Amino acid sequence: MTAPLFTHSLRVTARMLFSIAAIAFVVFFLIRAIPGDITDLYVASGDLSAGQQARMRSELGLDAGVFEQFQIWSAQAMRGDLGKSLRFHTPVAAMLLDALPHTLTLTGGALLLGLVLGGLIALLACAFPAGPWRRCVELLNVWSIAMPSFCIGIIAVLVFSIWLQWLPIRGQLLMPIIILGLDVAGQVAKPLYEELMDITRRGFVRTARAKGLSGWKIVQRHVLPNAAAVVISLAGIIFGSLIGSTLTMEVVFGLNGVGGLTFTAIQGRDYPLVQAGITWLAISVVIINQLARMVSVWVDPRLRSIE
Amino acid sequence: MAGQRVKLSTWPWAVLAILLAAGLAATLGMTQDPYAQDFLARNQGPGPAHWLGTDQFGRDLMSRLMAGAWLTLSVAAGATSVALLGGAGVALAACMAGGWVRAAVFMVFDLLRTLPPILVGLAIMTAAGAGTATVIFAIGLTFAPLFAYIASAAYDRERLAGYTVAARLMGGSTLAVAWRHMLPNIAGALITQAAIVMPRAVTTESVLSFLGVGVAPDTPTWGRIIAAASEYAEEAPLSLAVPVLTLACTTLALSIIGHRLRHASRSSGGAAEATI
Repeated sequence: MTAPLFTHSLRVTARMLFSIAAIAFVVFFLIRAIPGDITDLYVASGDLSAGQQARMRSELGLDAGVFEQFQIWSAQAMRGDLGKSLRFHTPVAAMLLDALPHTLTLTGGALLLGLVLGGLIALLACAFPAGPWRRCVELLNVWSIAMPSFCIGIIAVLVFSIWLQWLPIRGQLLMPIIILGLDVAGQVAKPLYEELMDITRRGFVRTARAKGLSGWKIVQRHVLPNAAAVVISLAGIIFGSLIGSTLTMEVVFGLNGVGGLTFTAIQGRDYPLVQAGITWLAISVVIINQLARMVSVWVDPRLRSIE
Repeated sequence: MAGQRVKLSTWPWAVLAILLAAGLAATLGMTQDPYAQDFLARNQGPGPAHWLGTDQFGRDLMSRLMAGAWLTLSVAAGATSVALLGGAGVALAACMAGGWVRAAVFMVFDLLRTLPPILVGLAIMTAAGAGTATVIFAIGLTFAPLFAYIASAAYDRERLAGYTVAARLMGGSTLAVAWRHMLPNIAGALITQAAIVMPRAVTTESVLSFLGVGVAPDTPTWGRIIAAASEYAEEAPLSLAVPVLTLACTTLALSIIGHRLRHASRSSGGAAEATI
């Protein structure tokens, strides 16, 4: 058992490292393919003369060839040095750390709210098939598929910040967490409900029912442990798309998170910041996906044979 | 029950038909010029001259929305086609090549699928610059893995099916067998997937345009219209609400159509795929 487990974890780690390195590599060359670097932007806005531009370029190391730049950057990154922002002249790592709490609160809050809400509604729909909960599952699912979260964000700003003036337009986390949370709930509820119904049709549930257990007890004792694996792997998949919608939410609600930071950095051709931002977002998606896969295998040993 | 179902299932198609008609009317020049600026009539509410009002440059909102319907839908349709043909085509070719080629190609697809579409789109769009063709390619690329997995799963299933083996025994080349015998069999599944991807392509295009990296700056797609209107939300809330609701209705209608198709093809097995 130990030997296959060891080689398995080695293979998993290698695959993750490869993904991360590939993303960093692609992003590096992709952003440098954008016509015009930061000094061009300064020249265009009249802040820099042609002579100063050449000097600034060599100061920032932008006059070297792309491959040479990549060598320098990757050697630094290996030592944990992500470089300095071209625009703000502060270390990129510090800027990311400043932005991280916003993004983590937003993503974590939305994921938590969505999993709890979606899980609860799916459970209720399963435990009380006659009630209105099944409708709720369908409604939430359609809502999350059909309503782009940035649209809801804009409408929410219009209604709650401009008309009702309950919340500030920019810089608050309540509305984006609720909007993204509802989105996640819709993505969780439907597959979870289907899985739950599938489980209830199995033999052990029929046995429990024959023993005279109540509906809620059966769900709690027999169904829930079986559904946990599904929820966890779903959470891993949802996290990826959540990172994407977090970015738009940060722009719509003017939050200084990693997504918003990366977005403004792209517009300002701030290479080290873009590089660090996108790579960080991608790394978190890769790691969370892998974690979700590992935890669901741990929770549900039946999945081991598939891995 | 049956009557209710008919009533429910017609409205998404009606929405789609109205959008297409509106878009077609705009492209044929039957509306006001969506680019014509009128600085005396900026951020106006609805009125007889401009039925839905005007934007911050005094451009007619209704004709911009109608022109946007055509652009948004055609970009989404184009991106979906790119994803379908590219994803399924590359996947089938990789499957036929087999061995390390297949492994390498699917490693790339795995990587693409892991990343959020908006992030991939954003990176490509900033690198290649705003433009309609780029946005079609970028969105197509982000959704290509979904078709690739369907194609490879179908390939593995059909490869050993009786008719494939028979066709090969009769001397058909791999390519001919794939084209003549496999493709018709997986076409249904691919088209169903395309219907599901369509609304997501619409959303992705709108988000990219909203962020300012989608189609070229002046082009009236919904994302651009929404981005422009959101800066004047207080003065002209209607100019913001109308495009947002139009977009929401469109994605809603398209997703319902997509899910109906998937439901239909699932509940009656593979046979129903032909009727789509």
